[in-house]
Amino acid sequence: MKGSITANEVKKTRNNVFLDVLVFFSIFLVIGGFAYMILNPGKMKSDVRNSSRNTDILNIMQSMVGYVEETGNIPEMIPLNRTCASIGNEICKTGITDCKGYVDLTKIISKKAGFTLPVDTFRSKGNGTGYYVSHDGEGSIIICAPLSERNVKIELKQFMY
Amino acid sequence: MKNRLPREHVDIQFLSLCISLLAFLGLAYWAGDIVWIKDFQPFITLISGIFALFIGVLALLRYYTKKMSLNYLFIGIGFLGVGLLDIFQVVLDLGGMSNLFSGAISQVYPVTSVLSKTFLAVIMFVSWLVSRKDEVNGKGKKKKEALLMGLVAGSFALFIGVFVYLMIAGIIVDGMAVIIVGLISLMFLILALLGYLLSKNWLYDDFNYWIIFLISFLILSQIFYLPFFNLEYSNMMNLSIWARFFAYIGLLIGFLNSIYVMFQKEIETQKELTKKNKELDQTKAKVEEAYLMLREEKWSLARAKGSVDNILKGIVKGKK
Repeated sequence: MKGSITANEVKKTRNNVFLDVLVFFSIFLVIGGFAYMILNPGKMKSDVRNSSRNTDILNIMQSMVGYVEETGNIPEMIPLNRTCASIGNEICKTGITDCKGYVDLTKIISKKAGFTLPVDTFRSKGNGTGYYVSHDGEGSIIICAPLSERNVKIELKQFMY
Repeated sequence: MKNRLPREHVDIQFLSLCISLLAFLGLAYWAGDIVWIKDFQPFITLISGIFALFIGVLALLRYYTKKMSLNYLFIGIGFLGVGLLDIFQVVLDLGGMSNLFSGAISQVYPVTSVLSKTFLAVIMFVSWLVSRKDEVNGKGKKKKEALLMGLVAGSFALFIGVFVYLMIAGIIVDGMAVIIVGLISLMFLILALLGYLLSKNWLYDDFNYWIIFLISFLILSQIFYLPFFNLEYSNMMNLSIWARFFAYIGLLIGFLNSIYVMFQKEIETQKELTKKNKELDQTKAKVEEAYLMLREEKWSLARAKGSVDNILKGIVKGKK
């Protein structure tokens, strides 16, 4: 009948309106996505965490240097391994009694008053700190943070003697 | 008269474009933690170059089959050039194909990549200009279009002017020429996108939607290239190449879709022709039948007339 709207037409119109709204909403989302990527707070946080990892491995290395200067030897508990991030090279947390499978640096940090080993933000569980240590057999100590983010390689190699 | 595409179809097309752009931005957000993505940079550039050559050939084929729209000719020539430049860039950067997966592109801003990007941006803008000449536009629409385009071009000119001033003043020097050329390319791409959107041909033809898809991803690629986002430089170069790769895939789909549509139309025309021929045969048979009947009637009439004549002759003779 002329002038009357069928149920199908009403459904079709509703569908069209819904799709129109969806298109506009997604356009706003895209614009929002662009704005978010310009600021990218996620990357900023990762950068901050990575920079704190850098500071942490620098602090650990400083205590190592102090120990080597005092004793004249590379600490015997540091494993010989050219690849820093390997199983068995992870540093044990301060104050943990069971450091089996980890590198126990209690002896070294006890020489530096008030120093506790830093723990990586992403290493909340387990007895490890998330930082790894090894020596290459040629007089250098390597400390690394394999849990670093955004594909940044955080590693410090220091020649001791 | 051109057939308008169903409204739902157009809505779904633009919705899928927005979702693709969002998905790509999501990829960019997480790309920093994806290790393998940077190993594929030269390979993806090479594949993009091959795709561009393929698109160029398809566009030229499309142009020479109908020779209706110059738009295809420009896209064809442009993509052939871009494909060659892309492949040339990979070979030049890697120093040979043997380093395709092992070698990394050392330069942050390879000059050849700037060339190909600018060339493509200009070609897309020219293709829109050419397609615009084919259409008959209203005066009001043209005025609106010119105003919007003027605003975009003006703001870009201002932006580029500031950069040129900074370069002349010696405040920023590193990679400045590339940024200026990149901004010019971005301006041409945005103008082309606006042009294609305002022409509203996407309401009638799927191919125009795929051109819009291409330009949108090229703009994204250019934004990553310049770089405007808070990401690592290497990641942005990478994502710029990936965005361009997706843009080419989009246009390739567009061409394949247009070929499919052409074939479907051909099938429909064939069906229509067969139907018409059948109807023509039926009509012909009916006409022949009618003619035969008419001839039969004519003969019977003639026969009846002959017998009436004989009777009349007999009567006339009898009277004599």
